[in-house]
Amino acid sequence: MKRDHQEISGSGSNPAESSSIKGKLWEEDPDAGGMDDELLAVLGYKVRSSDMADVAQKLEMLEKVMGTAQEDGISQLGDTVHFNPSDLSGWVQNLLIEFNGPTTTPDPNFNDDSEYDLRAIPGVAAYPPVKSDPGLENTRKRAKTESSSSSSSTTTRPVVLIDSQETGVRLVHTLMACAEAVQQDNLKLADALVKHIGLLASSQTGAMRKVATYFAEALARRIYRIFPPDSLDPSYNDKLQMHFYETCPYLKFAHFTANQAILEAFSMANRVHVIDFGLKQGMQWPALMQALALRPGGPPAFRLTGIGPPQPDNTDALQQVGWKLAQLAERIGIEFEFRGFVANSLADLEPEMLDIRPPEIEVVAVNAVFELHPLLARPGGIEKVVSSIKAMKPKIVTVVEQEANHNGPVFLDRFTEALHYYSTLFDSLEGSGVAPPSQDLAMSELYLGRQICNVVACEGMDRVERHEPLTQWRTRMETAGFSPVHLGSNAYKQASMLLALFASGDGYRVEENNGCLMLGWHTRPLIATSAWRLAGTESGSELTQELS
Amino acid sequence: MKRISPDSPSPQPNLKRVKEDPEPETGGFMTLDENLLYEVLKHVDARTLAMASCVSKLWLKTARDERLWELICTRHWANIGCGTQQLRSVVLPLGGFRRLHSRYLWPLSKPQAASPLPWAPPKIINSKPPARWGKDEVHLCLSLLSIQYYEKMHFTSRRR
Repeated sequence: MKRDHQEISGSGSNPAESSSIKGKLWEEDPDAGGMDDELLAVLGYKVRSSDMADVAQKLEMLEKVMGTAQEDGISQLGDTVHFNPSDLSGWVQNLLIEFNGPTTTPDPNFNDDSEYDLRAIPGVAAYPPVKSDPGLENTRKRAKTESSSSSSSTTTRPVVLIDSQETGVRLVHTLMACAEAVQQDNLKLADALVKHIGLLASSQTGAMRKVATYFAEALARRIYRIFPPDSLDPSYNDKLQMHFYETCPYLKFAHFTANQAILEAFSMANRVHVIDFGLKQGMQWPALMQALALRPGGPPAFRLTGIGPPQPDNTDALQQVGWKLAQLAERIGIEFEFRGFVANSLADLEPEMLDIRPPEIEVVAVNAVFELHPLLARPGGIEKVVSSIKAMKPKIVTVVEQEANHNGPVFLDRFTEALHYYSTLFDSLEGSGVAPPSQDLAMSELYLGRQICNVVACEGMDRVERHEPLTQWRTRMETAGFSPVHLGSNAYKQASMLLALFASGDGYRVEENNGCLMLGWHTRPLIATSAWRLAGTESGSELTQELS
Repeated sequence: MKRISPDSPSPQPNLKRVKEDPEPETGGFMTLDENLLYEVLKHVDARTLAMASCVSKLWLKTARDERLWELICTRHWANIGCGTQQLRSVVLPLGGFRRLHSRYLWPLSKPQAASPLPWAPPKIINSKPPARWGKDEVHLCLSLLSIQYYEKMHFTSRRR
């Protein structure tokens, strides 16, 4: 930021605008203590101590605006006439007005649209019209003086807002307005709003900022139809998920609760077989193997079938994981067998491929952690998979899914749901006490960001993050011929203990819901574990036809 | 009869009868024979055992003996149904009892800074928690030990 020394005029001749600005500034703070900041005074600037925060904020805004207005020419600075530049506050004010000026003139439509439409959008998506006027008035008064607002009504930009809380509210409203515009296929408006969101988001901090940024990016992708590069690298997603595993307890919770159910189902068996629909790094299985090894009476023979997507560089990721697990098994004395299956989609799987042995010989468990919802993208996908599962004749099926409704038919509803869900999730990451912003945290956020992008920007077969709440999964499983298995109280206890040990934030809550366990942040459940068996098996009654 | 750690807060049971001195002692208990030290350390609590490892190299070596830590772990935990040999064959390869205790059992038994666990009885907040571990606590800690072992194994070899 350069000061233009030549332009310093004397104390006197001030044009109406800046003098009135100055006048207003002084008038607004008649008894602000009158003390100029000493440190800046030494440098020749006169800034009141009370104005410091104000000035700092404006300087930040200026920096951002300068960054975005580069094309319009930094030469604007040279043309600006400064009067009494030691008055830092007024000078920054000037500059901001200058910058806001040029950006409006070449495209008055842009400005008009946004101003017009932000207020005119009916419904609660935009801020309610009743409040907006006094709200705008207030911000004008705080941010600009009356003179500047009268000089150019087109320059009342939210850029200069100071109240971050109000910006937060406006941010949410703008997000919703933009989504609504997209819903109504009003892409021009949506485009304008998306830019607003970016500016507003930069005034926020923490979780809100990150969530808004991801949603804004996703909306922009949807509007411009720049769809995210095909997530063809599953190993990348696996790595991100590992970071997510480390940072927060959701995945650990999922593994622990599913393992408890599997353990109970395996209690009497001599040979057990687990079919993992998404092996990834195999983080769920060491704990199960350890628990089996310590079973009174000795461990059963443990067989694991891991299913995973094809790797782009043709490395056999599944075999590598299987090898590691085999080493672990050997160390703790369990008979272990592993097979890996590569499949693009679970729907491509045929149960015969898996070499399932008859139930008298081995007891089968099927495990699906976040693996079922992508099947909803293909018509018939989930039905095929569920019937495959039944053909495997499992003693228990463990399902872990996100507790959210991101698969409704209406885009706006999905958007709203997702906004709430991911805001809560990001809040929990923020509050979980990972104090120094670590790489783990950043990667976890990226992991979630990719999901956000998929929910908002993609459609059709590409939109794989089709989360559905537990109630819908329950209906689906029950219709398909499964009955619920209640997760025991020891699962609940272990889950609670796990949280106490790992989650230094005490906002996490474990909830029991009709035999299923849910982990949430404060009042919002975020993931749910449920367990299922084939209807009619346990009770000893005759096997129903579905099993044949 | 020799006492150890006179400033230890924990009440010590009477020491077992000392075996006949194998060699003439020149100075206090710093010249305790390794085996003797081991016998003595069998009776101390976790905190004392950990402190004992800070005394000298000999003490460090002795206090790190897995059998001692196995005693510390299993003395106060609920019976999880498996035999000692079975337990050893799992815990030792996965990192051992000392690690199990220091990483998982001990933090679990400390009074939590955050909201207290809903089912646990209020813990005595002084230097010596009673450290009684139920089945679920034990299982959780064992699981975490195995995960940690797997992670180390998994990631160190990936770096090659």
